[in-house]
Amino acid sequence: MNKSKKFTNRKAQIIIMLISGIVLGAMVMTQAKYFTNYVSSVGRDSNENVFRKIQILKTSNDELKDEIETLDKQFEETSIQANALASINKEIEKNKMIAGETDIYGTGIALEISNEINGLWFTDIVNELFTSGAEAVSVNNIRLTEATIGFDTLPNGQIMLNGVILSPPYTFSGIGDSNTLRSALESPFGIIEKMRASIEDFEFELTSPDRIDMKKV
Amino acid sequence: MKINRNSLKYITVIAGILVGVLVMAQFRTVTPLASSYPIDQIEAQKDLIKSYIDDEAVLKSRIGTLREKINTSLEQNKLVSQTSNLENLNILKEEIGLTELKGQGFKIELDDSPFIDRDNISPEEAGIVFAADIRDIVNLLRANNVEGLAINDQRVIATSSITSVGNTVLINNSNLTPPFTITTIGDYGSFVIRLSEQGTLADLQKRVKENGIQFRIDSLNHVILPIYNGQFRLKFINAANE
Repeated sequence: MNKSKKFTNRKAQIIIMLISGIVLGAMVMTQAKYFTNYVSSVGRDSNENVFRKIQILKTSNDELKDEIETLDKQFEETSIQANALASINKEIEKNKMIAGETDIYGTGIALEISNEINGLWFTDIVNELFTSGAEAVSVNNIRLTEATIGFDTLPNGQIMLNGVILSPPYTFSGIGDSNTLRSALESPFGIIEKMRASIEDFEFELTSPDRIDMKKV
Repeated sequence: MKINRNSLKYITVIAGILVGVLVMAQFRTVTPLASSYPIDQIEAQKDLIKSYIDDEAVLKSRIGTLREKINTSLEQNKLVSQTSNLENLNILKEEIGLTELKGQGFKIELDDSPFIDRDNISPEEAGIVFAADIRDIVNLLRANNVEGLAINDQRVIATSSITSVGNTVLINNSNLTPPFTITTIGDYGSFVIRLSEQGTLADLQKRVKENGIQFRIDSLNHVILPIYNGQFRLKFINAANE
């Protein structure tokens, strides 16, 4: 009887230890940082969706054709002396918008990220927006133009843009076709998927406001 | 063979931990999406991409020619078009990359490891230059306040995209192959100091040391940056004072 009880106790002990081990192992795995390392350049560009790229190239060529059409018209206008002045003024207004010398607005998307993020994500998100057809981009209301000083990571890890220290939430706004921009960011292997895989407790909000305003630089 | 009691306890706990780790790993592993496209379809995709890139070169060349013709025409009509307006326009063109830019600067040459054939390797190979490397350098140059820059004769402006399709790097959607020469107008000395700071382009510098990526920087007395030959998108933008 005693022998049998001793055996049962020992069996129970083993089972308890086994269960404790399983729980411990599961806890270790849950706590482990199970994230993809996108901090290195390897993987930041690979596995892109080829169909999306084809679409981007096609759209880009269509835009080039539109630009040619516009330039053809402009050339016709400038060739006629009487129209030259009007043509120059029109061109000045257009170039002022491109240079960031005019306040602008339009439809588009806003990506708000609550986490502290590595500097590389700033360049990658902005690049993703321009690749997907954004016509103008701002980060925390700082519009990116030729005159903007790039993203700089300070020794304490803070990110500076155009001499201004940024702090979360980081809002990336892009004026353009909101459906195209949104689907680009949310696409498989897209930037949001990569950030989710790389940043612990990644918190973001992607919206398509009817109107995005950007101040002149 | 008799296993003593203590050993049995340890074995049981370790076995339990292993089972726990394996079970959790099973839950958390995402199955990678494998390509199910036959080779001829992949070739067709490549051909399509190539045809778009070829078309794009022709279109950009046409844009360049038209912009030149417009400039000549405006110069010829200078008296009618008021000199001050024309000057304003030219200043704006300079600001957005529509004029050549000349000055003192430097160039960065970036190339794959000499032991690598870019066409026959995985896009994950650390010895090749990625679009992300070029983006990081361009951003660092902009953070260092350079006046302008070009990559393999493609003028890079604020809205330029630097991306890739497989092992191909696309800048302004133009197909560029290594070596990549980043030419810039700016202060060489301050950029070299910046490069030497700890953590600057850390991943690239590591791959230069460990994976054979070639990186070289040289100062230049006379740099001429080409005119941007791409499109400006203004379909969704409106001037706020309209």
